[in-house]
Amino acid sequence: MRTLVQRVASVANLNEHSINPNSHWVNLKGSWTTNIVVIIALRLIFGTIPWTTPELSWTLTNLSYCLFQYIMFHGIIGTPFEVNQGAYDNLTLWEQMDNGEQYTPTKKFLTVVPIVVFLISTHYSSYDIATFIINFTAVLIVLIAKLPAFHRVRFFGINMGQNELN
Amino acid sequence: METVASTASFVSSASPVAGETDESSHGFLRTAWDFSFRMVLRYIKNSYKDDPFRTFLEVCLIGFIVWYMAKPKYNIGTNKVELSEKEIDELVEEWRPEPLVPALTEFERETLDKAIMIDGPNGTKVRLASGSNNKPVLNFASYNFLGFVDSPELGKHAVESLRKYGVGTCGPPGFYGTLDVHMELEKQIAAFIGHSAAILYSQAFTTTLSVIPCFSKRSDIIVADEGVNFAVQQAIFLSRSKVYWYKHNDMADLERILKDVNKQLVGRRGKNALPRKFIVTEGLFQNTGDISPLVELVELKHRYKFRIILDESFSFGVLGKRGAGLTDHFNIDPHEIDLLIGALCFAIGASGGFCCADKDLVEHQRLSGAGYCFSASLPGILTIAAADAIHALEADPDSYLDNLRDNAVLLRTLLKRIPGLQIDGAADSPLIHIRLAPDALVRMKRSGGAWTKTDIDRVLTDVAEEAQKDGVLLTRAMYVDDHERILPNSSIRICVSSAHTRKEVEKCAHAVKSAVSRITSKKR
Repeated sequence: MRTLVQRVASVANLNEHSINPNSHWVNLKGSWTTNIVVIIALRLIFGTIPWTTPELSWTLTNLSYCLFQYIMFHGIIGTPFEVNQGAYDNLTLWEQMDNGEQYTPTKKFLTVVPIVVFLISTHYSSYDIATFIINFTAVLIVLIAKLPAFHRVRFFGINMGQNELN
Repeated sequence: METVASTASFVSSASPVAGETDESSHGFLRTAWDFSFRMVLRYIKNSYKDDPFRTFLEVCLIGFIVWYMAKPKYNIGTNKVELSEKEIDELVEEWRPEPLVPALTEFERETLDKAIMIDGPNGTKVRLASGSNNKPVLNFASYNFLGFVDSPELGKHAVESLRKYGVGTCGPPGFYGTLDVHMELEKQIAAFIGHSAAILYSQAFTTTLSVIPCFSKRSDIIVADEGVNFAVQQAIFLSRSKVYWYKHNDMADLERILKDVNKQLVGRRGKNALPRKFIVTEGLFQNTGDISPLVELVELKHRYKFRIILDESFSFGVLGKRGAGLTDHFNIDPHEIDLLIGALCFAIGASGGFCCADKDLVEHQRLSGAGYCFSASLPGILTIAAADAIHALEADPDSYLDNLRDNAVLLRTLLKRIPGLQIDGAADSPLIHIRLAPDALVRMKRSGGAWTKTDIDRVLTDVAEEAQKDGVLLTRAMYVDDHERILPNSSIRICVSSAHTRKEVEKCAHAVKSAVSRITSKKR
């Protein structure tokens, strides 16, 4: 029976000062810049589609950015290549970053960006109640997944990974 | 808001005549401040858009950003202790470095002083450097099972090949260190055992350490015998696999564990559904002298879908009709053993080790076997010595193996007759561990005394010294005490050789008997 909330096992010694080759790239300046550029590009592209209102294009920008963030940082576990004999196989990219350290500059940046996008979007367009709820929920989900309290927490048995044999 | 603007404009418009530049710069600043203040207010008014709930949510989000950015970094696992400067200085003052080499305990000092030093070449008869009367003693301590260590023909051929190959190969096999004799020896070993292919390593200890972690990784499963020697234990530890230990040579326990492992793997899906599963055991156990029941192992392996890694370091050249090891002894097809590890430094009398396996597994080790890639290859003369030894064994197995078996059986029979001794192990194993029987130990202790391991080791060292006075060299089995998973009971390890004559074997048994009776008669 799948339980609601579980904590996933991790064999990685997250206190080491080693660089995780799978997740180190998020700390680079280019990644941060690309983040901003992608958001601007999304907004412009969605704006050029004819007969879209500013509300719709902002909603689409917000939703697609939150979706990208979710899939990349919280939706997939493990590494695409072999790292440290499978030590990170049960961890999402967010949990692998910075050896499990919380409140690092990269994590702060990636938490603040969806909120800022959301705030800008509410300022420059007028949402009615439905779109506002959609946008706000997307930002809320992405925010909650990044909180330290949810480190290695899994819901509904999704992404539980491989159990340790006893 | 209007009053602020009006006062500002009043101040800016009422500029006095004297000092006009100061006042105008002042005025400029005031207008700038006023302008931006009004911008902010207008922005807030626009954002508000008459929706208090939404604004409240946005203010909460802004508050969250501020709170989040203000948090310091911390790591979940560490409990970092913050020390003041004064505390750091005090700790630095008090610090005294530990010595690089810790002081020896009393027993370690004794062991070091009594270490046996052989003066001259090794063989079945050796001279001791510390011996008082410098008579040669019979060597029952070296793993010289077939007598190849001091064989004159092998020695002569090796010295001749020294002229051709020099002393060392100066490189790993993958980097200009492979000689033609290496490739010939690998083919020869594979043909001798009957397996598909073989790969040579330059040291027997690191062969096991290389082979097991090469194929068994962190997500794989190993089921190992509890009595395996130190090299196998370290290899299993290095592989980072999940390891289950079964009781020594207990096939029922092994089957229970195999069933349990397979049951745990039932619900898995994806790439985790099929981890590699290995059974690891030795052919002839170094620490006990037992033989593992290979027939049952192969049957279990097929039933539960495991692979076998067999460490035949001590059984290669010793067991079997031809001397090809455990597969020869039990008449099993060697291809059933997935990885067959052997040593060339014990019975064969050269140096190094090998691994026999299917061609793909052997080729994989040429790039992933740590001892193959990162250690220098076997020197030419030792390769040739190993090849000669295997040739000699192939040409005339009976003269070596029958002698060895007869000597082993004879020595075991004679030793079993000695009161106060406990002899374990397989009947025809030339590696015999003798331990003091519990009742003899009890009789030896003064009333109220208890035996520590160090005491028993001291008794056995005294037994070996007494036997040395009678002309027989024995040794206590030594272990790295802190690192063995289950430290075996103290024992004297006797290794019989096929080069020993019957008289010499009887002399050994006689020396052991008198030494044991002399030592056990004294109370401690």
